[in-house]
Amino acid sequence: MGHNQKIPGASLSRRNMLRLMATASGAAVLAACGTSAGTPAAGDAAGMEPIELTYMTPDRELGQKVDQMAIASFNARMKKEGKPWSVKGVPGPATDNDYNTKINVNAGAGTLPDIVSLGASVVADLAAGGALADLSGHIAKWDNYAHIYPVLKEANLINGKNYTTPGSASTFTFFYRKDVLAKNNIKDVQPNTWDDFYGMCDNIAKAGVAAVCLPAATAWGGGSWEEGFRQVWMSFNGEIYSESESKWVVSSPGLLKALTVYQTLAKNKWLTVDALLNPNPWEPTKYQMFPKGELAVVTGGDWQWTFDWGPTGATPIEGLFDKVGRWQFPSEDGKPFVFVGTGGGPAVSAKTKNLDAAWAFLEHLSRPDVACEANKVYLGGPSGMDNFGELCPDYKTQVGGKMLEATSFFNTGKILRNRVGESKIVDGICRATEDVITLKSTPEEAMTAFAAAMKDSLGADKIKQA
Amino acid sequence: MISRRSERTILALFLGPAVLIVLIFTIFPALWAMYVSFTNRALTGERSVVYEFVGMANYVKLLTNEIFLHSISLTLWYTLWTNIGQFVLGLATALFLNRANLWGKTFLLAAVVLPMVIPAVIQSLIWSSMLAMGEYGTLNRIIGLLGFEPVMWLREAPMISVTLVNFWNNSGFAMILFLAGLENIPREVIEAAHIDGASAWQTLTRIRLPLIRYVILLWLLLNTLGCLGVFDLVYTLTRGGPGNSTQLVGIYIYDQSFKFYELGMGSAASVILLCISLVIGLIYVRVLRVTL
Repeated sequence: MGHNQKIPGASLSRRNMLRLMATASGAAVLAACGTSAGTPAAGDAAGMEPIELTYMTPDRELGQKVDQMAIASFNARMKKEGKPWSVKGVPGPATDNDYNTKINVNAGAGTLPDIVSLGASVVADLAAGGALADLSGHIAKWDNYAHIYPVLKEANLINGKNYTTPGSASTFTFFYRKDVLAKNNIKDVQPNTWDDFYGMCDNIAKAGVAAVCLPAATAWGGGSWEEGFRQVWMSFNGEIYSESESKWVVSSPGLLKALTVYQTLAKNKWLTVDALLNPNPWEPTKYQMFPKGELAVVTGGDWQWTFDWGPTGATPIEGLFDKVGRWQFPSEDGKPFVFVGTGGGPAVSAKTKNLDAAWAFLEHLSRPDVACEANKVYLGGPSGMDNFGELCPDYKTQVGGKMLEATSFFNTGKILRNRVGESKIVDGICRATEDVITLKSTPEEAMTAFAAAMKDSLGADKIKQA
Repeated sequence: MISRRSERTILALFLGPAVLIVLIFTIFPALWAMYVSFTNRALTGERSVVYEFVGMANYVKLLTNEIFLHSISLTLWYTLWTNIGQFVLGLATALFLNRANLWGKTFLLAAVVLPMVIPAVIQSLIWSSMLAMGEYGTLNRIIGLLGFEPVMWLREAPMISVTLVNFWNNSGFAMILFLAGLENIPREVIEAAHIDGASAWQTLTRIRLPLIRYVILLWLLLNTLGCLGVFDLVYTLTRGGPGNSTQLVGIYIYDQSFKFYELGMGSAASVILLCISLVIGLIYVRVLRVTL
């Protein structure tokens, strides 16, 4: 068609076309403004601008119920006190891997919600990346701070600063099926050394039961470190992080021995290797085999009493406290230990709309009356306050008293403070353990590859080869 | 009457938004990814703030990395077999539906196309249930009725399972294109071939397929590019596992960038995938031009 020919139906002049587009653009802008102006916010009794903060936690049913209760009571309290602050829950992905990915992507894009619940292993790196607000000033003036166990206060510090409220803790041990051992006439004794533990695994395997699930490999993500490897590594003498040099140890006799534990368990078919390589490895192991009594030993923390096997948990085990017991981790020197996992918890974005408002919510979450009410719905771990049992008497008997019992290990258990670079170490360990349990690499080869990978990702000045 | 200038203005007004969107959401991110691929930038930690230019180091690491090369070979394997499987299924269905007066044609067409309108993540969840291990998986229940032991499909044959799932998901797309091509072949041509004594096979291979060759090549181009960058289906079904047995390049890039937080490495892997796609795409386009 020639340029001077009339286009059928093209009777719209250029001017009219521009007018039409300008009108459409104007309408779009007005609509956008209207939406923004209509955003609900808390009351503004003091004449201040209303501020609605966002709070992200993993989208897990029990956790969300507790969060909604806390948010509702906070919003009501702020309204009553005439403060123009409110909080809105924004559930994140349910699994740790996806949740951590979302958090890190949001942090990288500068769109982290005002308040986020964080796992211990990601806090230091997010802080180093400038994504989290320093809460030290607020924590110093916090009434409850005096009642936080000293070990938790100490462990919460990253380069002398607090990025989360101290008080989150979980004790980690082996959990085993007492009834399965009894049924197969296997003596129920605490394994003090790894040789004791291997003997136990052998007896269990001979009885036709899968022996142990020790989280490993990449599919379990952060759990391979938090629920498995760091405890095994700590069971051998030697350091994981050199305090004096501020360096991660990426090659050492202790690390080699830890990897050898995994090799031994895999070679002897005591470890649930197939299940560990599944996309969601906790499902066949903790949610299917262990509740059915087809798997005798798993690792994990206090939350397993409620979140995994409690009456409202993922797979309830009837008669849980009669059927399931805990063993401490064996060690090289024959002195078994409990690991106290600390750090993590709710943190505040460095770009929050209002740090004081965010802190008010964090402080609200840790109030004994709020926590006591939330515990009626879900109690996932021991309280970090030494007087919580007095302020909330129900706590002493909740979950069979297991949570209160766990606090007795706070001062005697082993801890590992969160350090910058931990998320890289976690990834490296996931890959190293995967290579070892699939027998693709020997422990020596896996350690060499791990050291090289860490040198690459952390930098030569941040690692140490002992 | 619209002058050439007015026509140009209208053209610019209509094309402008699309070009702007492509620039903002495709060209700029691609250029940014190329830039990041030459750095050691991380998603978290100190290197998310202070990162360095590392030249070709990421590329050298990737191209000498056994796992990445394995990912590329898996992706090519997946692309090859997906193309073969979907071609056969799509063509067979299209030939079946390309018959006049076929009873229930609309229903059959809808049934074949249905998987295309279901989001890939939902499709994967459906198939996760179908292929679940133990006695709870639908497929295992079916074979259990025939007396077979349950099979761990995604453990024992992960790549084959993933590829077969994709046959079901996307054969409808091939079918639609092939059917459109077949419907456009004049009836007289087919009738003339029959009068000349051509068999059904000869009609297919010497008349129908050559006449729809441009449709086939177009489908091949689109499908190949889609397969090379596949992520959602495989990620939801296996997350690249067990081990790295279904870690296609798309999954590898995701793992590097968002699981191990190595944005530089992930971006370099993306650029390599982009280059592979470009080379294959250019070959197809070249063949398409020659054929046309």
